Amino acid sequence: MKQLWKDFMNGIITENAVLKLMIGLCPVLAVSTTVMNGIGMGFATTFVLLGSNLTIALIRNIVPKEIRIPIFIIVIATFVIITDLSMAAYFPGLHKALGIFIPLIVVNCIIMGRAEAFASRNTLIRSIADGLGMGIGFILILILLSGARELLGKGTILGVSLPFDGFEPALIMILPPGAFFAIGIMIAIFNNLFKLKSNGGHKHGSS
Amino acid sequence: MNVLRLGFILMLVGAISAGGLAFVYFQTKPIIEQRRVAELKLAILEVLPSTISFQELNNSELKPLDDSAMTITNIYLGFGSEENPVGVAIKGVTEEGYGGPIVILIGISIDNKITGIEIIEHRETPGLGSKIAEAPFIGMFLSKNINDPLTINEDLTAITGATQSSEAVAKLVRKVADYVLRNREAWR
Amino acid sequence: MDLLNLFIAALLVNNIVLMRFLALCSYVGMTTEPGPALGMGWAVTFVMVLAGVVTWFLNVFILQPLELTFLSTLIFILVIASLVQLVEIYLRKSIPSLYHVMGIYLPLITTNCAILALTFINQREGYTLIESIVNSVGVAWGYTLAMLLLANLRLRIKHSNVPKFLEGYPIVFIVTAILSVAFMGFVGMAK
Repeated sequence: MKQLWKDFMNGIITENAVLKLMIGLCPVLAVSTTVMNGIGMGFATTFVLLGSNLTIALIRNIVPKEIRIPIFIIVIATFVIITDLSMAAYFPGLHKALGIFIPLIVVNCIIMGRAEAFASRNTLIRSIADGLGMGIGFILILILLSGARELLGKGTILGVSLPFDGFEPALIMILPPGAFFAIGIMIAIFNNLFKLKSNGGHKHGSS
Repeated sequence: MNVLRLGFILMLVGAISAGGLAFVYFQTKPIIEQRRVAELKLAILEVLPSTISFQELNNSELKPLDDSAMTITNIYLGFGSEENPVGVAIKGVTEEGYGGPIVILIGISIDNKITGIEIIEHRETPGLGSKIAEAPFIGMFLSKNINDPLTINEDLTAITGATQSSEAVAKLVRKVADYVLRNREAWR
Repeated sequence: MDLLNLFIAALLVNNIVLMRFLALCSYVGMTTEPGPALGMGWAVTFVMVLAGVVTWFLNVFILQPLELTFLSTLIFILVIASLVQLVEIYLRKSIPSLYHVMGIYLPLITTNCAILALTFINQREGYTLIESIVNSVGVAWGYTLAMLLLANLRLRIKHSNVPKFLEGYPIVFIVTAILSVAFMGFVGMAK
């Protein structure tokens, strides 16, 4: 149980993919113009991550080593297409807003990275814990970043205006430069808060 | 021998995946199609409020606009109770937007009034050009007659800081209005 | 849309890195020096044009006639992965000098999301073969341009006094934000 908790928290803080490992950045910056888009992208990615981690952990012993990468790619792409089609059917608005970034989940390095580094070497239950942790870590970053951008750039949160007047939104925050600016500041804050150096191996704050 | 075995395994995995996906595809296809139709119906009702049923004109009946940057993609004839025509909803696209093409659905009633405009797709700058999709701008067109000038700086005002986006929309509406004036007799 | 407009749009207006947020892994990971950044740029250009052509034929002659476009994601990523492998093998055996220049960057390309994104863009915009090739070159050179800009800026950052708070990746993103502001100026240029 303790091991599972550790696997889970690993993805949220210690090895947070975006802030710590600088991977999975593309969708984070691209869709974080509103909190709704951010949450949608977070859940879509988590679903694919869980599905691929689960499948790969299940078949890890019967997959020949030489062709494991193409097989992982097929597994991941399958879950991505399922997500794409289901979102088009049940969440058409979100599907349209995220557009090309839904099929691009397939090249999100987080998913391939976890398949190769974790799920292909660990038990089913630990791979699920790892997938959940990494997914939630990813969702949290998306919520934080899109929250900051929507608030500063539009003056709203989840489409709801602030309860007071007098705040003039800075449009640039929802334009491309705002995304780079916001993630830069965010990484700086986290680095200084947790004293995580971007390439160090320290383990902190697992509570 | 080993290559054959590996190739076979890879093919098997690919086949399982493709089979599963085909299943999901055929499950979701009708729903996606349904949503698309419902969305279209809603959009037409939005721009042509008294519509009860509508009928799309054939592609072959579409005549090109006299401007290479603009095209009419679909024409829907709207009918009210007892199959009386109430007007047309015309979907057009202009390449003259600031950030890319702008797709618009324009409703024009049988007595030549603009009953509604909906911006279906655009890539204008958020916060500036994107205001073409908002009520203050769209509202200027409502209830105007298609014989009115429908021109920026005459009976319409451009959005501050987004002159090009405003003009792209106004110009497309003007061209569609001309098109309706030319062809309206054929649709009665 | 004429080809020059398409090219300018792909190169500057919709710059794949600075305006569309793609290929960021290699953008922050491979730009500590201009040399590798340029090598990566050439390798990406090569594979992008190749992938653009191959996926165009697949899309027009197989996927669309058989109504299999829902499998595009799966097929395109497999095509790119195999292309990268083939190119690597071919270069190593036949053109060792070129392999020396960009060979080591090739394995990094499979997960370069810009290439897959490009094949989707070509497909969704319904480009012809010529348009696909022009778009591929535009996107690839746009990527190379962004890589070179950042790599040269980072050389200067190394010798300047960065605030302690922003050391490391944060300053890279702040600089990128400023580059992105500059590229915003191109919006509206291509018609």
